[in-house]
Amino acid sequence: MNRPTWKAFAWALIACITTPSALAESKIVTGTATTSGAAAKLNLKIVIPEFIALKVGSGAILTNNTAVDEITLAVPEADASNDTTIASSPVAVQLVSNVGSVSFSSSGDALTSDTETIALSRISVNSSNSALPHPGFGATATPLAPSAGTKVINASTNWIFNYHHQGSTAPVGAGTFTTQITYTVAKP
Amino acid sequence: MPRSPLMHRLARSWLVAQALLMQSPEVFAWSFTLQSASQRVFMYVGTATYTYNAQGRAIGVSNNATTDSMTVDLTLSLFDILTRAYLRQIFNTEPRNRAYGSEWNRSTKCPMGYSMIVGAGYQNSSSSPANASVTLSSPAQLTNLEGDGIPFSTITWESYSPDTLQKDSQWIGRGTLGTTQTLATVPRNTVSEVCFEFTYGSPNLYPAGTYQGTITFTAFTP
Repeated sequence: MNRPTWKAFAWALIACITTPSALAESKIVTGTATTSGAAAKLNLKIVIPEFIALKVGSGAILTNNTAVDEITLAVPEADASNDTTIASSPVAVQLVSNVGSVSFSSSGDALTSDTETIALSRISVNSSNSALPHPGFGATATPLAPSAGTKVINASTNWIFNYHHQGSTAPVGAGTFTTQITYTVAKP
Repeated sequence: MPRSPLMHRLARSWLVAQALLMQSPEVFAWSFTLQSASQRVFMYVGTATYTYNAQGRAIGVSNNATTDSMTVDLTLSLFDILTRAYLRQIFNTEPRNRAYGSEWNRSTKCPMGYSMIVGAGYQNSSSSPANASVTLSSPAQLTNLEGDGIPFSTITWESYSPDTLQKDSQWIGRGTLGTTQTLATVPRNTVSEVCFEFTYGSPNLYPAGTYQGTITFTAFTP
């Protein structure tokens, strides 16, 4: 027996091992069975990936936008020494996700101006949609349930920020106080 | 009597116009003649199990009971989801071209990567019935393991001839899954095949997951 024959045999063996069997269906029927027919099937599969999209403020959801909106709560000079509440204009918020229930949280430091501070507890937030409330500043994350079906959340709301100025009972120094709040939605 | 130059030009123009009018937007059927035999119909999707004559030419198909399906994977990217874009994508893991190719002439193939070859044949030594029909049916929805569903009606399909990649005259060219449709009429003692491709598109958001469903091609006689 010569070597080429063994080589050919080896290659044929490899081919037999690596060549897959037919993957699709073929069917033939004969005679009277042709009226019920020959059927061949095809499996279809759609894979939907997980995603969470959150928009706070201006811009479009479902796109990554790194611009951060700013709201200003200015106390009128006449109320500087009074206890009063200053409301912001509405802030549009939208959440879209398809992962089931999610947790919604916010975090941020107190507002500061030089050495003066205003605690975030002086700010409350009203939401126009109870399904998408404002999560408490630094509080335990708020659980949000799907709004459609078993996993999809598609909710919009407007938040109104209210600064409870205590010019009479707990005054702070004059100045421009700033901070940045980060909102996070996560799959538990 | 010889024609005048004007008459000659008019006659030639008329012939050209007739030729253009006779051109159909549909191409002729991509079909092959089969030998007459006892009454039988066959149907295949993708790589069929063929029978051959002594010269190695395909003369029919046989039952393939080993694996009864081929998976078409319409995997959506996050971009497609977020932009609600239509997507046409078929991942076929079949490594051999036969999954897309015609075994009847062994040179023509459906475009690899996003199409699937589908064929139906009908043989009969009797002249009646003259044709077999081909239908495509599907259930109401694809489902995932958690019981969520996506309607099959979110998937549309197109078929075209493997040689010209245009609509085949013997098959309807497009449709929507979720119902039963008649696709083609196959004359006696012929086999006809087309390329199929599928498009998923929906304005709705669906839960994350892998959704699966089975569609069925059926060839039958009246």
